[in-house]
Amino acid sequence: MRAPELPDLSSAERGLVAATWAFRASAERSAELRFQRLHDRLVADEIPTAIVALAERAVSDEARHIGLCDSLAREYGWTAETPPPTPYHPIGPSALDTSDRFLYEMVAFCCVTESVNAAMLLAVRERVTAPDVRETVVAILRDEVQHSKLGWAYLAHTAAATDVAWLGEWIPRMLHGAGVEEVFVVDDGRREGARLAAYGELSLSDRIAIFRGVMRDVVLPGLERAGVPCTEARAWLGRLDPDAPQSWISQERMPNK
Amino acid sequence: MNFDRLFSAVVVGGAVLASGCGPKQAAPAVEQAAGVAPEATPAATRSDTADPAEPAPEATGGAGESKTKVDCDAVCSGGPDRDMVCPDPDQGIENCCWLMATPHECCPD
Repeated sequence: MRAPELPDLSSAERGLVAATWAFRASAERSAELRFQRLHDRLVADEIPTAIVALAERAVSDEARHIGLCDSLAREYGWTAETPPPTPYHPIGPSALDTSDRFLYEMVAFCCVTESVNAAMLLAVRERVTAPDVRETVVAILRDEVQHSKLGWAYLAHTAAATDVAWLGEWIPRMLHGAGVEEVFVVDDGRREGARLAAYGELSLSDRIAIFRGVMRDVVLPGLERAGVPCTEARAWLGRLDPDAPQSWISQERMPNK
Repeated sequence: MNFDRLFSAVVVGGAVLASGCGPKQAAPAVEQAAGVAPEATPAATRSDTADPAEPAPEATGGAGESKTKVDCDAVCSGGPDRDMVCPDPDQGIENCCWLMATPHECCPD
């Protein structure tokens, strides 16, 4: 079967693709610095080497991703200055002690943010046909899955030694901190349609469907599996996304998860 | 969209990693090529994934008997099922065969 022809983009449309990858490059810059700090803490705490190795690998992954994203942005016409890293300072409520704040950050950044990133890239991979974008997405996706896995491994490691149920009340704050509200922001509609989907751009309806799916299938059941109650998170998500099928918002742990 | 496979890869995979499957870094490539066995995985850390009824891999030869290019007994441990731990070609760390995106050549099909 012949592959569908790749549509030519206007200059403005190429600019949208360029902006997507320039922003991603800045997020990767932030992630590199954050993973370096997380790695150093894991080493200092003598966490098992398999988990430390994932963090070490993540630092070098992100350095490679910065180059890939910058290159793709330039290819699509990005000429402005490189955006600075998005914030990468330690996160977590100041009321928590340092160990709990570290767990909070690992869960917020790896289990939540990186899981959502991986899901978004998985969906992009299904749609994108532009070879240069696809090549970059495939290269990054493989690593993002491992970055998410780092958080889930650390959560499982911690949950085996101590009660992590206290995290439950903080999940809505993590979701807010991860900027999930932006998923639902109705933009100017310029990224809608099959033309830009072929270049990896996600429409509003795509973003919402992916977000609902990764919350339902990965983040919420993953947290509950580790012993983190998600009652408050589900209620918060229900308020954020009142149009979501209530069956998944109210769903407790799946029997097979 | 359904992300059950992502759940398996990150949540289940992370929990297995934390429980001790693939708990050590792979030996440098030069050592593997020379057939130097990596540090043995403590049996206790594999007990939740390995079938206790299985004979010890050293006694069976694992999957290595049918593989000729590398000494699978030297570079892998556990098994000879999909819980066998080998160097992950993509990740540069030891990992369970069933978690590898690209299975190591010693992993069972």
